[in-house]
Amino acid sequence: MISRENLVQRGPVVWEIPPSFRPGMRVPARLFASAELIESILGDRSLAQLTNVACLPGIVEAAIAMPDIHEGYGFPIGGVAAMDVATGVVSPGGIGYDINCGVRLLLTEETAAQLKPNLHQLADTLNKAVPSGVGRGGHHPVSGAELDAVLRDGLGWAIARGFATEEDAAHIESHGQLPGADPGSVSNQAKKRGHTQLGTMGAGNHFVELDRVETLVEPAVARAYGLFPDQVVALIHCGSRGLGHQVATDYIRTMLRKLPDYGLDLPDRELACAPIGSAEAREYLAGMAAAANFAWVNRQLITHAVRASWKAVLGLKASLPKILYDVSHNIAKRERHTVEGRLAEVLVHRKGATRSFGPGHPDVPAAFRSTGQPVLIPGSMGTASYVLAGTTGAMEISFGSSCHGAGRVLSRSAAKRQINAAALKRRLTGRGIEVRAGSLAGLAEEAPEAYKDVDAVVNVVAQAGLAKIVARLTPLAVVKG
Amino acid sequence: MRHFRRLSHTADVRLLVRGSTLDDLFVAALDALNDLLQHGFCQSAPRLVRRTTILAEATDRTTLLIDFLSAVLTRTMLERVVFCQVHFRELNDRRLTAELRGAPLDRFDHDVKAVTYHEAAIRQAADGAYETLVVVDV
Repeated sequence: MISRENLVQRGPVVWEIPPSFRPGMRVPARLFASAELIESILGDRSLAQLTNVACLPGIVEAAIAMPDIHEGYGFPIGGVAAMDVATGVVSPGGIGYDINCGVRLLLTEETAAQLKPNLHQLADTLNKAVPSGVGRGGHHPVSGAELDAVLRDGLGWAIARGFATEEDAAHIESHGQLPGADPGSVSNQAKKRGHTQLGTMGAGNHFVELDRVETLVEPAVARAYGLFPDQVVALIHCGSRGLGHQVATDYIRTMLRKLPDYGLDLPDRELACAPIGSAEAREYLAGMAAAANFAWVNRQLITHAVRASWKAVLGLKASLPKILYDVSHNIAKRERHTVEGRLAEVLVHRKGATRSFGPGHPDVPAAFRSTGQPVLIPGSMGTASYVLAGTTGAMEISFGSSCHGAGRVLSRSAAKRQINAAALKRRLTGRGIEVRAGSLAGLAEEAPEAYKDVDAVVNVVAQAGLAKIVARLTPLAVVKG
Repeated sequence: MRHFRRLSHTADVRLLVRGSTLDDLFVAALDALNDLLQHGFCQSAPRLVRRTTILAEATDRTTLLIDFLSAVLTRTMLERVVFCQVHFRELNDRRLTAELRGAPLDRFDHDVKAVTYHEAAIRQAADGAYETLVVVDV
């Protein structure tokens, strides 16, 4: 286990474990955290896992951990690893099984005060409109050529079918479509697992939530984003469902078998990888892109359901929620970054981390070019969530990345043992939060006590210069599987 | 002897699985996976009306175990069937042929995304039992 003595402080909230810590490390392990957060981070194996990531061939600058880091399997959750495209590897575990799990924020024109009489009905309507639960199917089964079109075209499919507009696509990372997606790189089993699951939330920590804008910290940026005080916004958190899980499973297995062919010897099998230029890597990236497109269509169909719910409850003349932005937090992207003073193309793995690109970056949508992209950080249920703005500083120290949430501190079984789910639900509803949960056990697993303090996590992100806090949100209604 | 128990893991599930023989270990691992899918389902003696066969090959027995569990998970998610019973027609360090029987299930306790290779390493303990950790992404 790693202890505090192994950490070298490089800045007020920046720490490193140098490569000399253990044989095989090619770069330092870099952690963004406050002194207080470090205590909980040292309580699990996340930093040890980060040092394993630092051993991967072609990794550049550092294996990076966000302040919400926690133990995963292979890569920790809350990590960033950039690989030189010429000498590096792609590791599906560095993206995760839920490919393109991400968060979308929808802006409404209503205030919490205006919506209060309808909140109960809205929660009920959303709960019915968005299928949730493990393995549950939705209202938009697709198969064959239609499914292939979803995988290849992402938001393009949704626009063609009338579920999305061009304006929606312009407010989604990568326009909701990763180029190079190949349905042929997605196995039949993956397609069978996912083909009934479009427009569904899943379970676990996935949710649809209504929040109110409690505090504006950067009013000018907030105005540019379309945020105003007491505004109701909707948050959607989910990913690529069974399709993505199977894509990752398939390629981790394939790459594990091919490791000897590439002379790769890894500290953890779950870091299974292949050289970026190899056939296996190309196929995986094409399959990953397809699964990512599936996830964006998934969140778009849920957006469609939220809009339909809005009309159903508030009337046909109600203004429909608009997308502020949609960020992925499990994905790999080819990007250009400065590495050792030179502009280089790298493959950036983000697993439980989001992009945080600042003003002027060409990949930031035109609407946000002057402010930096929105960065969406959902807290645990019942606490707070945040909207931040990406910074140019993030490009220098984290490959343009920020955290993705609050980060767990309690295991699921410990949370179920320690937290009375019925009492938790009463506590939330006592605060006026409408709660719709498919499983009380699932509710306990997602209790606020199971997570780090999101305010503390976001403050580290701001202090490190990875993103700028724009607004703090607090929940009005939570819908979970 | 076949046995499993859950150990602590921050976000996912870490299982310790043990068996007197390799066969017992693989069965115990299946029991552990099924217990995650729905606690107590297999113990409630459901009618095992569905059958499937899984063939797997790997370079070592640990990889074989994880590949087997992954294949069972995929079948479970595709068919919404929990495979409570398994008979290994063949099981050695590199190959297995498993005949499974299961029952339909429409509600799961956990969204089991994948069985990972992380920390898995079959070894024989001092008492001769086979054991391994298995970390499952939920």
